[in-house]
Amino acid sequence: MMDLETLSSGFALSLQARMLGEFFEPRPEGSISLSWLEVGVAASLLLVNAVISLKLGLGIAKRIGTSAIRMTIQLAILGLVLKQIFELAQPAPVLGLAALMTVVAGVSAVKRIDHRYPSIYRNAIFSVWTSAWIVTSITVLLIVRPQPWHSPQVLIPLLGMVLGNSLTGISLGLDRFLSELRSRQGEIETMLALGATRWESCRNVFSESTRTAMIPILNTMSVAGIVSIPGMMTGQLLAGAEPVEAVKYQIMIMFVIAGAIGIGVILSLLLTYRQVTNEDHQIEWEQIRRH
Amino acid sequence: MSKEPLLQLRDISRSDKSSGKRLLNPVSLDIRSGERIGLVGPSGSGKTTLMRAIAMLDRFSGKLFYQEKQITGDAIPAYRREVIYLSQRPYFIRGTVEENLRLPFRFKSSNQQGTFQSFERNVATLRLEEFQLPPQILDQPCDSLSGGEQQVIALIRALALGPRVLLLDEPTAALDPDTRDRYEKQIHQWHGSSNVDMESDRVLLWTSHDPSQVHRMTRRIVTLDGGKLGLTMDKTTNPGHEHGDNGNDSSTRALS
Repeated sequence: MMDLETLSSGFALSLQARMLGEFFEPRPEGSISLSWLEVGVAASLLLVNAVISLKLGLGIAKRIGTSAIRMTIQLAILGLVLKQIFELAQPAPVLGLAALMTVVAGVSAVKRIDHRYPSIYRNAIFSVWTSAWIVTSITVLLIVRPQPWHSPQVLIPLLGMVLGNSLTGISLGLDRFLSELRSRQGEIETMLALGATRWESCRNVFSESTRTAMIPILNTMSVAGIVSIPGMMTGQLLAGAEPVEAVKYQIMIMFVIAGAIGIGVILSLLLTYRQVTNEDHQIEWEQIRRH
Repeated sequence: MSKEPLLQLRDISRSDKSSGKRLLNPVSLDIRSGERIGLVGPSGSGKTTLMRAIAMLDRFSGKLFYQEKQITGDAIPAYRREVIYLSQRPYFIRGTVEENLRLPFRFKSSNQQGTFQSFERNVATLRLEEFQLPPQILDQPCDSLSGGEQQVIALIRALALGPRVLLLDEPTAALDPDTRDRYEKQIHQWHGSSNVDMESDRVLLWTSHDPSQVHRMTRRIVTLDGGKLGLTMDKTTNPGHEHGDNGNDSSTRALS
């Protein structure tokens, strides 16, 4: 019986292998190029989730579907655009794409914030722009130093990584700052009424918001390499990079990202603080509105 | 007695920015040293708006003079320490009563001349005693106190700064009768109006829905209705000075 069982399962496995073999061409040594079918296998994993959600009525199947389709379309377009721009390799289109990405990052930072004030879009875009571009410029011009400096293969993915992190930090920080100001209005006004300056009355909320915004990256940094291997390093390892080289890059990227988040968060909070307070040490509550 | 008014309000008004709704119609009022004014009127008549304007907590139109000077910009925190507004509901930072009493002394404005410079635990204990509260309360977190106790702590915190003007917005609404009596006594003591020999230079503005309390606590009544200044009358002289006076005819200060 035992023998039969092992035999049959072994047979099933080899049958499976043979069937798969008909679909998948054997991969040449050292290549990591994916076929669309292989991407499809990964997509089916998400499909399983969607089916489970439908069966259990979790109500997230639609979200899974739209997010997956959105991500696919966005990245497909990015691939095509990058292909064009990589071929052009002129500074202007590279910087144009970078500018577009930056504005989109600023806008999506605000989209996640509940309480807003009139010039919040301008401030968020300015903060994302300043922090991400300063940090990316330093990384590209002083650290990575590609030839030519505007090599889109280096600049675009680096900027993207910095932008994504900076925008998350800014939206976390601003969301916390504005909602805390609102919910602690009485406390803040009491401090003002007892002689606090506008800064003294907002200082606690300000520093709590900075901390909230920095916690995700600090967490990521503290578990990096133990719990998870960061995405960029995974990519490099898959692409066949030396582990030590990949680690060096990853460390550099972590510093760069943390720096960008810090600058972006402080800048956006300062601009917001200036916007919702005035020189007469008042808080302009009517500016802060729930969206 | 030709002293200039301590506070001069000239056409102070305020509208809600978003809806454009008038919260307070232009108010002109002179307030002299030593005055105790009862601000009366129905809910929503602008009493709080007017008090907040005097404490410069909101943007308003019109002019406000304190000791003949317009207060702007960085002079405002020190001004607010002298002209303290106590909101209807007291608020505290997270922490103990003592931490809250110490709070105003951490502000930059506490280093300016003429204000009290530090927190004294034994002074606070004495004040608590006057409200029959034990000194251990100093180490309790503020959010564990009853509404009435919070109101008392808020008053003690304000009095520790030695204010010249107190703007009290229905301060005793949450208090039991005994505590209310002690609260009123503390205010009288602070104002110094119980001392016949000495003229007080402190000013009290008090709102209340209780007419007998207004009568006990104040000497001059200013009526607000629908965001408009109505009657202002002096309880010792002939009542009925119309709104818009320059304050000269309401200068007859009452000393009981």
